[in-house]
Amino acid sequence: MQEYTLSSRFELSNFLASIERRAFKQAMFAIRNEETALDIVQDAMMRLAEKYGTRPATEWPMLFQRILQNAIRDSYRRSKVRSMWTTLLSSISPNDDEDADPLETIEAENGSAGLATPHQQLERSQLLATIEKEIEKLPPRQREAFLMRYWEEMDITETAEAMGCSAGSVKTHCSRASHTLAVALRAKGIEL
Amino acid sequence: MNEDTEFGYKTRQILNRSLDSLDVEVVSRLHQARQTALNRQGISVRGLRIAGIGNFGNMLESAFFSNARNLLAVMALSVGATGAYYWNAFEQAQEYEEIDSALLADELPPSAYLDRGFHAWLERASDSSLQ
Repeated sequence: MQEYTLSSRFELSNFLASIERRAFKQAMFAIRNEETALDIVQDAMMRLAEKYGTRPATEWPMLFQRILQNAIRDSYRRSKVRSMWTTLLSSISPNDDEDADPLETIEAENGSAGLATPHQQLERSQLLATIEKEIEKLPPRQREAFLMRYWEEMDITETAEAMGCSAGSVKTHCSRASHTLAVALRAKGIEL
Repeated sequence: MNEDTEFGYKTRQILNRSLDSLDVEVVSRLHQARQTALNRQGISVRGLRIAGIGNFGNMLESAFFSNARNLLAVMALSVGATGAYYWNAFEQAQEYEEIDSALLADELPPSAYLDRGFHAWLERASDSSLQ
C-alpha cells in the first residue's frame, strides 16, 4: 500500500521546483522580509501538497497562486496589527535599546540584499533592482495581476480565478501596472 | 502582441535573471520546504494507483467513500435517536411504576386487602376502566 502515486509525487516535486523561487520573490515584493517570505512559501507549498496534491497537475499553478496570495495578504494584515501594537507599546515603554549598534543593522541589511555583484553585471543588476523596487511600489492587486499574468504566464481566466475577481478586472490591473511601471522606468531613463 | 504584453514579457526576462542570483541559504531553505511539502502530499488518499487513470480512480473512490461516510453518519444518527427515544420511554415507565407503587404502598392500609368490599369495588372499577 502506498499513499500516493509515484508519478504524482514526481510531478508535484517538479512543479514546486519550478515555482518556488518566483514564489519567494513574489512574497518578498509584498512583505519585504526574507524570513517571513520563506515561511509563506513553505506554508503555501504544504497546503497545496496536503489539500490539492492529488488534483490534476494543470490546476496546480492557479491553486498555488491562490494559496500564496492569500498567505501574503494574511501575513501583511498580521504584520500591520503587530506594528500598530509595537508602536503603541514602544511609545509607552522607555527606550531600553540604547546599547544597540546601528552599524549591525546596516550590515545585516547589506548582507540580505546581496550587494556583492560582479562589476560586469553592475548595469544589469541596477536595472533589475530598479524594476524590483518599482514592482514593490505597485498597489497589491495590480502587482498580483501583473506577476501572475506575465511572470507566471497564467492566462486571464486562471489569473481571475486565483485572484477571485473578473477577467475584466485582471485586464485593468495588468494594464495599469504596466503603464505605471513603464512611466516610472522612463522617468529614470530606462526603456525596455 | 500589444504594448502591455510586450512590456510584461520584457520585464519577465529581467526578473527571471534575478532567480539565478538568489542567496544560497534561501535556495536551500526553499529546497527543504519543498521536501517537507512533498512528505505531506495526499495524506488522506490510500491505495496504489496507475499513472493516468489514477485521477479517475480517485474520483470514483472519493465519491464512493464520501457517500458511504454520509450514509454511515445518517445511520449512526438514527440509531442514536431511536435508542435515546426508547431509553427515555423505559425510564419514564420506570418512574411511573415507582410513583404508582409508592402511592399504593402509602395510601392503602393493609386491612383494605382483607376487606371483601374493597375487592368488589376494585373489580368493578377495573371492569369499568376496561370498557
